[in-house]
Amino acid sequence: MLGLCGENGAGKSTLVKILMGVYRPDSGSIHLDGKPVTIRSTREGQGLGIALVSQELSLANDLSVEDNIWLGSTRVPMLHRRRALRQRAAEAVATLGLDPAILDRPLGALSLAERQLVEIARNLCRDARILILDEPTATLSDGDIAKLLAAIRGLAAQGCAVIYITHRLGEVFEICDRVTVLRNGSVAGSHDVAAIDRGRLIEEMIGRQFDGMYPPAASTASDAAGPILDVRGLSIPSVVHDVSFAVAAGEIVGIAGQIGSGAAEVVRALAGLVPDASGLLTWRGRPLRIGARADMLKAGFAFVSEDRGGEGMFRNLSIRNNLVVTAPRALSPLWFDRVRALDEVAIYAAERVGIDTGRLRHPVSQLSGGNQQKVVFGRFLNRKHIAGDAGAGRPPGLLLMNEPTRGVDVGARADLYRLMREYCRSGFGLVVYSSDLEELLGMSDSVITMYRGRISGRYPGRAADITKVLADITHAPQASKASATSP
Amino acid sequence: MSVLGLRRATFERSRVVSVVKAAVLAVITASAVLTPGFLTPASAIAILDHAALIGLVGLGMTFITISGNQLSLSLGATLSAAALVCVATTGLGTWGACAAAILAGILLQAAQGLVIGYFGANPIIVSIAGLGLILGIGTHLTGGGEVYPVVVDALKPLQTHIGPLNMLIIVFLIGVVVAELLLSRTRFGRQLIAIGSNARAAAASGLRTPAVVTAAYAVAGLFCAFAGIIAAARFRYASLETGAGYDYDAFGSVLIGGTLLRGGFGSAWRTMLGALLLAAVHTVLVLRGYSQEAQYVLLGVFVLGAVCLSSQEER
Repeated sequence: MLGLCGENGAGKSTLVKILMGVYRPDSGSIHLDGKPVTIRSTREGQGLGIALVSQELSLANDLSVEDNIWLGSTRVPMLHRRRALRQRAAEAVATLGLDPAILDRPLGALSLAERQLVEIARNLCRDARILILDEPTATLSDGDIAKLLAAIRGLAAQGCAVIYITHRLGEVFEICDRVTVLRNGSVAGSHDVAAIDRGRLIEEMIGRQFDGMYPPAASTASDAAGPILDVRGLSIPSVVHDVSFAVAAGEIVGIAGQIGSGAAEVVRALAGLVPDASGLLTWRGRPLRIGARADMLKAGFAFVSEDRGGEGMFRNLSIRNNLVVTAPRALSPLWFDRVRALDEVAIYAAERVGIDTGRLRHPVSQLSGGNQQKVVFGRFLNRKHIAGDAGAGRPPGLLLMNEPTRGVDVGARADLYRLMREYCRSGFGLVVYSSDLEELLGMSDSVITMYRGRISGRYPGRAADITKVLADITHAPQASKASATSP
Repeated sequence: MSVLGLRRATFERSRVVSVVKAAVLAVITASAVLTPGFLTPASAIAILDHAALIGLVGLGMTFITISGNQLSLSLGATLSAAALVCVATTGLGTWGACAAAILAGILLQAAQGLVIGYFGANPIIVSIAGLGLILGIGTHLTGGGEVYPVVVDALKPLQTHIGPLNMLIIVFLIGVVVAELLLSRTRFGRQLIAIGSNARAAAASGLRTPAVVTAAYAVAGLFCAFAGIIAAARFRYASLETGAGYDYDAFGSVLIGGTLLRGGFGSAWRTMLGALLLAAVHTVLVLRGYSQEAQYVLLGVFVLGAVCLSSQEER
C-alpha cells in the first residue's frame, strides 16, 4: 500500500489522471508488471485493471447497489447473464465486509461510507488490480473511517495494490506501507512509513521548516469581558435538541460530532440558514431572533460553508470581486462603486490572507483549493478593515465555520489556523465544526461534543482530550457523563 | 511540466470555439461585403435601427440571463403593454406618457421578479404565466385591436432625429452605456453577477438575493418600456402585437454575444454586438431577397449554434 501525499497543487490529481488515461504524459513512461504501457483513455485504464475511487462519487443515487456496480462496466456482456453478475457483485461486497443483501437497496439509502465501499466494489467487479483512492475519508465520520480503512486493509491483504491519497496524515501512518511525497510536480521523497515521522513528512510536503500546526491561543484577557454570544435552548425539529453554550470575544468554540449529530446544523442555524430553528440568542447583551438574517448580518455574523464549491466561491468572478462581494454600503453606495476603495479592500484582504495581490484580476477558479478557502476567509476581513478605518465602525462579529479546512493541504491549513487566531485577536468570536477531531482539538479554546442532536460533553479551557471526546461523540451521553465537566 | 498537458485539453476546446466563431464572422463579413447595397450609409442606419429594437429588449434580457434565471418570455408582451400605456396616456403630455409607460414596464417585470426571487419559482414558467396574464388582461382592455393616441402631438418629440440617428438608435446607444455601467460599476451589478455565478454562495455570504433578482427584472422592464415608447411613437399606434416576437430575437442577441446561459458572466457590450450581428445578417438576407422563412431558419441555426458554443465554453 502506497500513500501519496502533497500539498494542493503538488500534482497528485494530475498524476492520477495520467494513470487513468485522462491526460497523456509529455514524457516518461508507465510500467505495469515490468512492461511499458500507454494509457490513452479511461476505458484502456479499466482494461489494464487500474481503477480510481475519486472524492466525488460517480454513482447514481436512484439505482440499486447492484445496478450501480455494473453501470458502465466493460465486463458486462451484451445480453446480461443475471445470475453470474449477481454472484460476482455479491462476492465483491462481501470482500469489503458488507452484507450481500445490500445489493437490492437503492444507493441513496446508504451512508456515505457504504457508498464509498460500493464504489470500491464496483471496481473490484471490473477486475481492478491497482486501486487509487483519492481522499476517500474526506467526507466520513470517524466510525465510518475505521470501517473503510479495515476494508481497504483487507483488499491489500488479498494482493490488490492500493494508492492512497489523503490529507489526513494519521491515515498514512495507520494503513500505508510506503509513502511518496509530491511537491511542485516532482517527487520530493519516498519512504517506508516505519522509517519516517510525522514532522519530517510535513516538512517534505511543504518544503520548509515546519513550526507547529496550531498557533497558540491569544492571552485569555477577554474572558473577563464575559460572553459576546449566549445561545440558549437552540433546537431544530428532529435534528438538534436544546443546545446551549456561550462564546467569549477572542474565543474559538469547537463543536465535535459525527455526521448526523447535528453539530454542523448548529453552526448553520447560528448563521440564520436553518428556517425552522428556534432558541434564544443574546448577542452583546441584546436578544437576537434566530431567523432574523438581516439582523444577524448587521451584527457581523459571517458563515464559511463546508461546501466551498457550492456555497463559498463565485467561480466566474475574479479574486478581487470574490473578496469585495459583501463590501459595506459605505464603499459601494446605491450608485457607483468607489472603485479605488474597493481595490484597497481587496489588496488589504489578499495581503492578510496571503494571496498574491498581482493575481487579483484572475478568475478565482484558477486558485488551488487551499487558496480558494483563503479567499473565502478574506471576504470577512474587509468588514473589520472598514470598521477600523471609519473609527466608529461596528464591533467585531462572529465567525461561523463548518469544516474550515476540507480539501486544504497541510501548509495552507496552518495558514488558515493562523488567520482564525488573527480574527480572535481582533475580538471576533468563532464557532467551528469539524469532523477532523485532531484539527478541532488543536485549534479550539473550548470544545463541545454532540451526540444525536444533544450536547454530550463540555471541555472548557483546552481541557479536551481526544479519547474522551471520541467517546462522547460515539456513545450515548449516559456512558460519558462521568468524563464531562460542566462549566 | 505535466501541468502543460492538463492545459492542453482545455485549451484545444476553447481554440475550436474561437475558430468556429471566426469562421462564422468571416462568412457573414464576406457575404455582407459582396452584397450590393450593404456598404452604404443607408444600410448602416438600417442595421443600427434594427439592432436597436432587438438590442433594447436584449439589454433587459441580459440582466435576467446574468442573474442565472436564463430568459423571460414576457419581455415582448411587456414592450407591447408599455407601448399601449404610452399611447393611452398621451393626454398627460409627452413626459407624462413616458413616465406612465416606464412605470408599467417596471411593475410588470418586477412583479415577476418578485415571484421568482422570493418564492424561488421557475423563471421560465413564471414568464409564460406573465405573458398569459398580460395578453389576457390586455386583450380585455383593448378589445384586441389597435389603440391610437388621444393626443397625437404628444408623441412628436419622440420622433426627432439627431443628424442621421433617430431616437431609437440614440436611446439604444445610451442604454448600452447605462446597462454596462450598472453591471460593472455598481453594487447592484456586482451582486447580480455574483448571484448568477452561485446563488447558494450568495445567500450564505449574506447577499439579499431576492431583492437583487427583483431589481434585475425591474431593470429588464425598464428597457422594454424604452423600446415600447419608441415603437409607439414610431408607428403612432400600439397593440398587443407591437412587441410580439422580440423575446426570441433579444435572447438570440444575448446568447450570440456570448453571455453565459448559466448566469454569472456577460455584459451589455456583448448583447450590443449580438444584436448588431443579427441585424447585419437580417439586412444581408433582405438585400439578397430572401424570404421571412429563411430568416427564421437562420436565426434558429444561430441561436442553436450559440447555445452549443457557450455550453462548450462553460466547461
